[in-house]
Amino acid sequence: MSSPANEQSEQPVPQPAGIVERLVRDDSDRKRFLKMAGAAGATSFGAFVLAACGSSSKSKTAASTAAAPPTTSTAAQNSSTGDLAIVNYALTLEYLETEFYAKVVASGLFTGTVGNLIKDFGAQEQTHVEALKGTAEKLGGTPAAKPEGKFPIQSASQVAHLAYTVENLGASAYLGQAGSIQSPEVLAAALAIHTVEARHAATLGTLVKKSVTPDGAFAKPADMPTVLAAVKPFLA
Amino acid sequence: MSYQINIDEVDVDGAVREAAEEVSGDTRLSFLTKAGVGAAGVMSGGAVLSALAPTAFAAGGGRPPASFGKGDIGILNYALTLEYLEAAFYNGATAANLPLSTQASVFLKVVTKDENAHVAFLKKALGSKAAKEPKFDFKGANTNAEMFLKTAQVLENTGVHAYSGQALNIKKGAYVKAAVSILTIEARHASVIGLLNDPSGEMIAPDGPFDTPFTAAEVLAAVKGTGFIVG
Repeated sequence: MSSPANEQSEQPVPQPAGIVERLVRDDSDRKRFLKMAGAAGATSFGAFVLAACGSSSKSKTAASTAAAPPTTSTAAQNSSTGDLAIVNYALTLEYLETEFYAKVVASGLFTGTVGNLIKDFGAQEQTHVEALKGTAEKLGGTPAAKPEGKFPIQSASQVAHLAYTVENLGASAYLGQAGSIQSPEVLAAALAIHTVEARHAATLGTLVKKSVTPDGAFAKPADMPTVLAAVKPFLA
Repeated sequence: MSYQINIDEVDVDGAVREAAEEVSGDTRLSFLTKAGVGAAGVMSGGAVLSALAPTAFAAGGGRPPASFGKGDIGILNYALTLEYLEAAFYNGATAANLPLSTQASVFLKVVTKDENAHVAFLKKALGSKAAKEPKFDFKGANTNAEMFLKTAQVLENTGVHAYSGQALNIKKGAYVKAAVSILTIEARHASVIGLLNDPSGEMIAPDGPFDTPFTAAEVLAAVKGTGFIVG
């Protein structure tokens, strides 16, 4: 067990340079992500990803959007870089989780207690979706559209491991945004959801006999490019 | 200077007593299952937002009493006090060599390591302003396997409620990040012990889809109710 100081110094700030550039340059990937974020939020979502990473992409569209002059209206700024973009990012992840659990339930791979757990987790993700949709609207924005997911559903063990991965990703994704959220109300909602993702993740860790605290005593955040790269295989 | 936290002295305005009276009649264990937002099922986003961020929290309310220190120092000392309690509880349980199932033994190892790491981290962050460790008497709750498991579940969920309740009150960005990072871990511990104690899974997320923040007064009342802090 390392000391807290080590824990801290060990915490890499995940900045996989190039992921964003790649996303922006690779047109099919880009379209996929824009589609994922919904028609109305498409530009803003992409711009947020860029702005969040301080991308120096040479892509004209991206550069001009990310470097929007300060004359941009407040509403536009909010939708491109503010809480709304974060809420729609979270909503997109929750949509995917909800669809994943729905497909797992439909697969009939799990029965009994574990089957019920999976159902409960799916229902809680659905509630997160509803809450985040409402939050996006309350912020005066358009909620991101539901993306279409694709998930490998092969065996109980494989699915349980995948669920463990997905929930851990969800928990660190929320953690990665906690410092960027401006509105206390939105932060409260994000934190209240984030701990439930952590609860799911740890429970699944117990089921698949993996660490319930894979980061040790201090959970590590994941930034948006890292999360999006991890999510990419699950987008239809 | 350092702060010696005495649960009676921090009850400066009767807030703790008030909250304690509100929850009287509850057992120590049922206290934490009360009033989960999620129990209401699917709420509209607006309703969820209002429920998750009651005015008291949004306005920076629910802070620890001034005797813990000013501003962020007070919040960190409040957190440190709760972590002292958890660490001491688990250190005692480890020393007691309890007859635990394999899964419960793994849980005890993880939480003992994590909570001691949280104590060390907060003490270091606070430096000379760190609160001293209170004296604890767990009244056998960590030397009896069954009591240990039940109490651990309460302590971990209390940790979740406490950090959730203060996250919005912390000013310094680095402390916010540390607090939510620790918050995640408390939630993970809580779900694991919840499943161990109730294989139906009902206690994995006792508040439902949204964890509930508690004010410091509510948390301190719950802690006081246990009688674990004796000086």
